[in-house]
Amino acid sequence: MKNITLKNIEKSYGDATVIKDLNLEIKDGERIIFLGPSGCGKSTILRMIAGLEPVTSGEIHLGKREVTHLPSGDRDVAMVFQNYALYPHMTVENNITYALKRNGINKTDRQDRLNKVLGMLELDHYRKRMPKDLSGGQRQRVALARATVKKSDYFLLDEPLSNLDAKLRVTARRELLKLHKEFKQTFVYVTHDQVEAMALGDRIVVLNKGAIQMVDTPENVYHHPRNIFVAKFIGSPPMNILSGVIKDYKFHYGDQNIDISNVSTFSDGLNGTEVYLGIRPENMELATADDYDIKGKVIFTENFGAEVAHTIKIAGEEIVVMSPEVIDRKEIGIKFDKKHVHIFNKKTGLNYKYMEQ
Amino acid sequence: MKINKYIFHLIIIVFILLALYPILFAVSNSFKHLADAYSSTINLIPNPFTLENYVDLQDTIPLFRITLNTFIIASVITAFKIVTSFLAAFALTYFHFKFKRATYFLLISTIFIPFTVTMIPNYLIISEFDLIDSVWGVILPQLADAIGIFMLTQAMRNIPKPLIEAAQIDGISTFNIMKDHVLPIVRPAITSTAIWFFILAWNDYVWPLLMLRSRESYTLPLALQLFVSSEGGTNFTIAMALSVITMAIPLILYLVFQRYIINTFSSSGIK
Ligand SMILES: Nc1ncnc2c1ncn2[C@@H]1O[C@H](COP(=O)(O)OP(=O)(O)OP(=O)(O)O)[C@@H](O)[C@H]1O
Ligand SMILES: [Mg+2]
Repeated sequence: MKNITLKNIEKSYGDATVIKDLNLEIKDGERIIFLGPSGCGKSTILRMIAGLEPVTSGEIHLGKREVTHLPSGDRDVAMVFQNYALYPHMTVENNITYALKRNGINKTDRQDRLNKVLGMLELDHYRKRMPKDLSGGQRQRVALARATVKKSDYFLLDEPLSNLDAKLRVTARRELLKLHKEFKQTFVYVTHDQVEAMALGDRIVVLNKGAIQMVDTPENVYHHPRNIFVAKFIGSPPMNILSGVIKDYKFHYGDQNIDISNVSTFSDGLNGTEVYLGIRPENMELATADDYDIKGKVIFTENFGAEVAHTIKIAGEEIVVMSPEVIDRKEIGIKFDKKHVHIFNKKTGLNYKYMEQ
Repeated sequence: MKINKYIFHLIIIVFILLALYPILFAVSNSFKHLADAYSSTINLIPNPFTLENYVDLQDTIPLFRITLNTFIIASVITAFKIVTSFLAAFALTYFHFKFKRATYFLLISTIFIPFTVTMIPNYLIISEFDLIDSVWGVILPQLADAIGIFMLTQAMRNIPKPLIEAAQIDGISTFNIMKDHVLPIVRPAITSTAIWFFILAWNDYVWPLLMLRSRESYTLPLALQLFVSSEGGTNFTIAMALSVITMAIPLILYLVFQRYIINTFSSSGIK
């Protein structure tokens, strides 16, 4: 079993608690992504799993082994660092085989593993080069190669693609998937890039201020955010959030109202409560006719190529609506796709979908 | 623009010549007969050219013995200072222990203690050990140097932490991390520090003067002093020959190790 169990993990530096009571079960061979804004504790969690950072309390299990207090080198995990951390004084080849040699892997085995990984990552040509003579993308691949040849069950990656340009990132993502397909390690991947998270993750752990906000598939994280934070953090442009009150099966916002009686999370009990209503820009439509849910003023438009984002002001707040083409009108009606409307509790920020359970 | 450049070059050349002149003077006069040296002191071309000063030098003092003494003193001091500095710097950079910062500052503050303060206690201790007039007496108080600890600690602090962590995750022992990674990465800093220590010990005058009594145990700077004062004081061409030997040896060593020094400045490929 190559699962990872994090039990009641806490981490503080002095008075500052960076990770609060974290519980998570990472499945065998799964690609799990830690996603969150800068400083939310993603690296800290990864480093605690790797044994580079001691936990303040709680337990870490790798498979059947409890490793909470085991030194890093005894945990048998492989890690790729953000700045690659290649050994600057060793050739590509030696960077990759060094630890194998020190750990007593025999020469033929070493060479086999080296050749295989060099081939997979198209590094054959660079085996005698020093790291300083490589491009960013090549260094990144060497770092991947070095972690891969260990054949460890656990593969930890801390923003390994963040130093690459957009195009290389796409290629590198494919390489990662290729490696995973071949070796089936349990991937723990840290990033603040949601596109990367969506593309690579079997499941995504959304973090904020050291606390898990949601753990689910990319699909659910996007379409069924557990709370306001996830709703706003995922998606670009982010989900529109309107603050109003529910009365008579309608969401009252400013001096307008939207019929929400057929929104799936709506229940009679919500009548009379103040809530947040959330909907993604692509789940709304600019209505030319009189058939609309809400009306507003177009302030400006941004052309994204495939679609145009219209920023619209309604009762003092701005929302973004996607539309295939520029609608050149001041006053405009907007139609909501009710299937994709979310209602959030105003106090806790929790999506009512998840409150019923 | 162009004229400026020429003037600039000219000024530099003048300064270089001024700096080089005493050296050229020594080299030139060491190849002259004493009489010629007096009659044409400033003429830099020896005419006639002679090696007699170098031959006479060996009759005046035990030259080989003195050179060997100087070499032993300078190399042993350098080797010890480097080894102790490296180990101390490694511990101060990578180990966690109580009062680490205080220890570091205490060590570094010894740089500011003047030599004259420790001179007498050192002298008394060495004489207790009965090592006066022995090269070991010169060497013993100089086995460690806070400057070396400072230089190497700085170099080690510049090694990115993830590099060490990458090795730790792969199960590399602390000793092997030191040997396989830290040592090669700070090697340029070690080389420059070693050269500095070697030159200091090679040229050292006051402490060897206190320690060494007989000519058999003298170092090159002490031997030079012989020619400046009473004996052979008039024979300054021999003194020049000794000067040339004194400066030639570190120079040759420098040329041998030069490529490592250049490395110090060009190996910024860590990232
Ligand atoms: N050695 C330390 N001492 C005190 N606070 C620390 C230390 N290391 C990290 N922190 C704090 O812990 C929090 C989490 O840091 P961490 O590096 O895990 O963030 P992150 O999510 O990886 O951010 P980023 O995306 O910027 O890399 C931050 O607020 C940081 O200031
Ligand atoms: Mg980080």
